[in-house]
Amino acid sequence: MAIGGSVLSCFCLFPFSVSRKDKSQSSGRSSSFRLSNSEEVDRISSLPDEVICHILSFIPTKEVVTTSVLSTRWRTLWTSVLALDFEDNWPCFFNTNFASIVGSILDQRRAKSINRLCIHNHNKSFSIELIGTLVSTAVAQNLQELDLFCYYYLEVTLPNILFTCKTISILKLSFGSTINLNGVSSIHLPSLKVLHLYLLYLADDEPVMRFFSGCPILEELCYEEVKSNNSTSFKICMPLLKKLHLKCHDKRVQIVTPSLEYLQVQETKVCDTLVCNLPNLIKTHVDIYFDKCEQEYVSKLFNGIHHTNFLELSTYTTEVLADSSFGFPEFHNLVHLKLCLSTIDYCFLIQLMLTKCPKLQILDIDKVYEESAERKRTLPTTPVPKLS
Amino acid sequence: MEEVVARLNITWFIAIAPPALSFSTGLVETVLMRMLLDLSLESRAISFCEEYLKCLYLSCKPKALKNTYNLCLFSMSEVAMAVVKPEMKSYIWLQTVDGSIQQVEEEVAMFCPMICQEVLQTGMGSSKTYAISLPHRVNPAILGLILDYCRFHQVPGHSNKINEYLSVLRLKERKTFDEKFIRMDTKKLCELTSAADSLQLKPLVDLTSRALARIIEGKTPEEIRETFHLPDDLTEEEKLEPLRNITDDPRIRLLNRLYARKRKELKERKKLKDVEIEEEPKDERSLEDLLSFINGADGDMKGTRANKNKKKNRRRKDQAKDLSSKNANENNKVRLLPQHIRLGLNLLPSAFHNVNFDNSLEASASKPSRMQTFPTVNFSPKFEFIDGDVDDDLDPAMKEELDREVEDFARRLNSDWPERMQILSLSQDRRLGLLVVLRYDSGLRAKQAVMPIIERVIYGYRLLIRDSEAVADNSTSKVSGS
Repeated sequence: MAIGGSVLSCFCLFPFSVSRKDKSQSSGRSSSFRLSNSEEVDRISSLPDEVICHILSFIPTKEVVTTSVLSTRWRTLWTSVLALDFEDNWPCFFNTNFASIVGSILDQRRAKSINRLCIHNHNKSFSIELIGTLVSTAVAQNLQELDLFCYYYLEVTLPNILFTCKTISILKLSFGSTINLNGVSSIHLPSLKVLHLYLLYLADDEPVMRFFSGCPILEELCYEEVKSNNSTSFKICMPLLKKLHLKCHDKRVQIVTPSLEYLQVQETKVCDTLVCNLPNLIKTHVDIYFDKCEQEYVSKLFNGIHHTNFLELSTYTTEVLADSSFGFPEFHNLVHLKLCLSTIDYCFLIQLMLTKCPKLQILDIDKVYEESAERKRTLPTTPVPKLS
Repeated sequence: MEEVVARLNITWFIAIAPPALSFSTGLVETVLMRMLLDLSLESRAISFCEEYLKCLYLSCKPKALKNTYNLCLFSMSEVAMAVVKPEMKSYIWLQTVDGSIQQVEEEVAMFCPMICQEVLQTGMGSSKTYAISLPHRVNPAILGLILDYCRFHQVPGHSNKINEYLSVLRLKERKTFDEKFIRMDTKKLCELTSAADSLQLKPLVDLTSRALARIIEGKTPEEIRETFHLPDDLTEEEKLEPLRNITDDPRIRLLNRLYARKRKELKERKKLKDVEIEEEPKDERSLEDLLSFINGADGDMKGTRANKNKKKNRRRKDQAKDLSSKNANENNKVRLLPQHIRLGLNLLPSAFHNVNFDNSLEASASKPSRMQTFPTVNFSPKFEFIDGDVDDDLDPAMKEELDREVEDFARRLNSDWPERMQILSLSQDRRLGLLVVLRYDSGLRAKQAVMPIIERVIYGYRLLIRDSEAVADNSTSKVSGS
């Protein structure tokens, strides 16, 4: 597909793009001015095909296909790129059927596998059927990473074959609508290591539990803004989970993950969160809300995370903690403490924390006023008792 | 800070060891480390340490403070080891393609899988004479960069959890290091990628690849060519052409042969009719004008440049679908037919029987199809050309069928009026498009060869339209004469 370059240059990039989009083009451009004599040797052609395909796998598919007009060597180079990245801003030429464009890209590809499929879509160009077809095709071709970020639909049903894929290791789903998991008979994802579920609605919790139990080696789980009709409790019980990011308002969550190293709990109610002992915890971010009467839950929570090396408490948390007195456990591994404070006087809290953290080295205080945010950092290096 | 530095012994200031342990740029840190390595200065080192830390604390430099604290912890607890370490440090000898040999600390060099493999398998690199020769893509300047990278990223083991966390904090510094590291011109970046790839240093390959991807992304092809100095060796037509099947597909060859044969036949047939053509008034107008006349004010016809654009099977079917749906409402018998005229040599059976164009998409989805071109020039939507390497199976049986179809078509072109009327009415009933495909060859000769045929057909249809109300017999005599 030879798309005129000028046509493409007027498209703006997708706003939710991943970080690789921040370009450092200035270095490239300035060098092209410096080395503008025509005898300059073309360096990129000395790279082998696999390396160029690796480079192209970080670029959206639309631009990858454009490289076919660069020179003779590049004409078919794009067909061996192992990633498909369909962003939101595909042009529509002369009422061409978008599905046919996608189909012809797939047909033209010579590579036998698809490592990465990424669809970021906010408008009608991707129908659910097309997404389903693409996902099925990719799964059949040893898909390793799937990233679906689509917001147009009312209900989404993903092909069953996705849930028994043996090769997939990264799965990110974000739909803004209901995802229908009821038709999925079995979920078995033996290679899945990273799972991000963001902004989904589920009919009920049972499929999610099946999902979790079908991912034996999961290492990273990001469970944000997933709502379901039946707000029952559910258990996140994964022996190998290392990173957990939890943000759900209306559920009772029980966290039983002995290998956990990174925990971020946001906007959850403390009485709804049961954290079992996490001995390997390294970093914890706590942003929960609770009332003063729920102290037992708070101590349960802190008991569960007291092995951590780094603790960050948000303003919600510190506000309530400041006024109450309850049994903090000793944080014997805590090296770095970050407190986000608002206008209330926190001396008591700080002192309390400092007495409970014998090995504290870095104390980071983030004071947020209404008008301005002021950051103040104090860094004691000597043992804590000296400070008071 | 300055008074702290001023209090130092000048001799220590000069003898600064390479900053193997520290990753911050502070000069004082390196001096401190040096001091700590010398047992005799231990007490002095400790007091200096405390004062320095106090300075850092007061000046609110968390990073430096943390670094130094870590350094002190490490040094004071393992000062004996630290003293012994410089002598015990082992080096690996590496030789680049230009013959120069340099020695590198072992743990730094072993960060590269290729070097590691060499050392473990062949035992080379332990001395100058047995230096490991690096792949030719690694020149000395680039080797220096790679070793810097390795030195920064190779991580020593951790004794306890606290150190582990502090090393996790170093990750942020690694990112800043990476970002600064990658700021170089594109030429060097390509060289670095190439060298890292030959040394199998995957994290560095990823880093440089992403940087190159960022450079390529968002640029037009001209800009990319300029940045990387790529040769612009594709002709204009090649750029607009859809990709050909480069692998030598026997079906494609067969199809090309078929086309060549058809063209020849039609040329001969045309020669026979030349005399008759001469009698007709020569229609000087271009093809597109003819069609526009037929279709009325519809469509946007441009000049012969339109001929340069090629379309594929699917595209044609799409267009047919679009047009048929567009014109479905127009229950105009006269207009419907000409809009479906597409002339050519190859008549695929499916085209004839494909009443419902909506299904064509699904049907052809199973067949391999080619990319579509999106021409930046205007093209005639009514008049489509298809390239030679049309998909669809072309085994001998099919070939026979195609032969028959072409014969049929040729016959129809020259058939009598009533017969033609019959065919046309039939097709009207079924709303068939008489899908005919013209093969475009780059070159004027082929076009000239085919043009008369097209003109004849168009002319025939023009007559048909003009005389559709007139007496059928009159038209027959006229048309059969042509």
